[in-house]
Amino acid sequence: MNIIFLSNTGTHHALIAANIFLGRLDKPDFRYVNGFCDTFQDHSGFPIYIGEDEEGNRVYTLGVGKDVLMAKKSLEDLRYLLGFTEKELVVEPVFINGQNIIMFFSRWPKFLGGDHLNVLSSTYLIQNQFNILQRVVDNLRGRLQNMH
Amino acid sequence: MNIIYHCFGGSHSSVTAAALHLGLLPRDRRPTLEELMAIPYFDNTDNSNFGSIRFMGVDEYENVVYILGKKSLGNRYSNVLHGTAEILGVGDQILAVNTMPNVNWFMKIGGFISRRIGIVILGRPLVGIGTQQAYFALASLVDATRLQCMDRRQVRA
Repeated sequence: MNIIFLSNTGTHHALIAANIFLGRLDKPDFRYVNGFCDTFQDHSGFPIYIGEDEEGNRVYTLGVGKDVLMAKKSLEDLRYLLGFTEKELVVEPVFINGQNIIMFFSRWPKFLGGDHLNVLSSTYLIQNQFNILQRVVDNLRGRLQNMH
Repeated sequence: MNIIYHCFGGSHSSVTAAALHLGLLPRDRRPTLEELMAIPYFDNTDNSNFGSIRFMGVDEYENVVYILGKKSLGNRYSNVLHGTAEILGVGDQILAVNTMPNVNWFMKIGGFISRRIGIVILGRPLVGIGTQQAYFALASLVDATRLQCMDRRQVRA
C-alpha cells in the first residue's frame, strides 16, 4: 500500500507525521529528521518518498499549497479513474494551526533570513502541536487496521 | 490513456481544449459563442467542482479525456498527478495538460465576472471573446497532446 501525507507543504508537518507513522519519531525533536524544512524538495510538486514501514507500506509526503482538501479530492478521483482503491493508495490530509505561517516563511527570500525563519517558525509551531500529529497518525493506523 | 486538461476553474480553457480533442468543435475556424455554450460544462461550474476530475469523452484512439479545475496551483499540478500515478505504477497511463498558458485577460476577467461574481450576462460574452481569441493556440496545444499520446502508444507497442 502507498500512503501520502498531504499538506500545504511536503517538508514540514506532513513530513513529521510521516516520520511518526514510520516509528522514527516519538518526541518533538526534529534535529535528525531528514529533509525537514527543505523547501527545495517541495518545489516540483512530485510526492516525496519518506520510507517504508515493517508491513511494506510505502510512505510519501506531498505539498499542494493552500487548498489541501481540493487536492485530496483530485487525487482520490485520479485513484478511482486509474482503477485503484484505498487499499492501494491512502491520501491522508494533515492540518495544524498556523500552517499558513509555515508556508509563508518557507517562501520568504533567503537573503532576508528565509531559511532561519522557516526553521524557527515551523519548529515552534509543530513542536507545540506534536500531539495533534500523533493523533492523526493514530487515527490513520486505526483505519488501516480496519481495512485489513 | 487518460488525458486530463486542467485550468483554474475547469470551465473554459480546459473544457475548450477537451472539446477540441474530442472533435466537438471545428478546427478550421473559430467557434461561435453558441457553439462554445453547447459544450458540456462550458462556463457552467461552481465551487464544488474544484478538484473534481470530470469525464468529457473518449477519442477515436480510446483515450479517455477529462477536465479539472485546480485553482491557482499552476503547472505543479501536472507533477502532482503524474507523481501520484507513478506511485501506483501507472505513470504512462495519464497525461496531464495545463491549459493556463493559453488563457488571456478576456477569459480571466470574463470568467471571474461570470463564475465568481455570478453576473453571467456580462461575463459570458467576455469569456466567449477571449476563448475565440485563444482558440488556435488551444488547438495547437491539443495537437501537441495528441502527438504525445501517439508517441506513448508507439513506445508501448
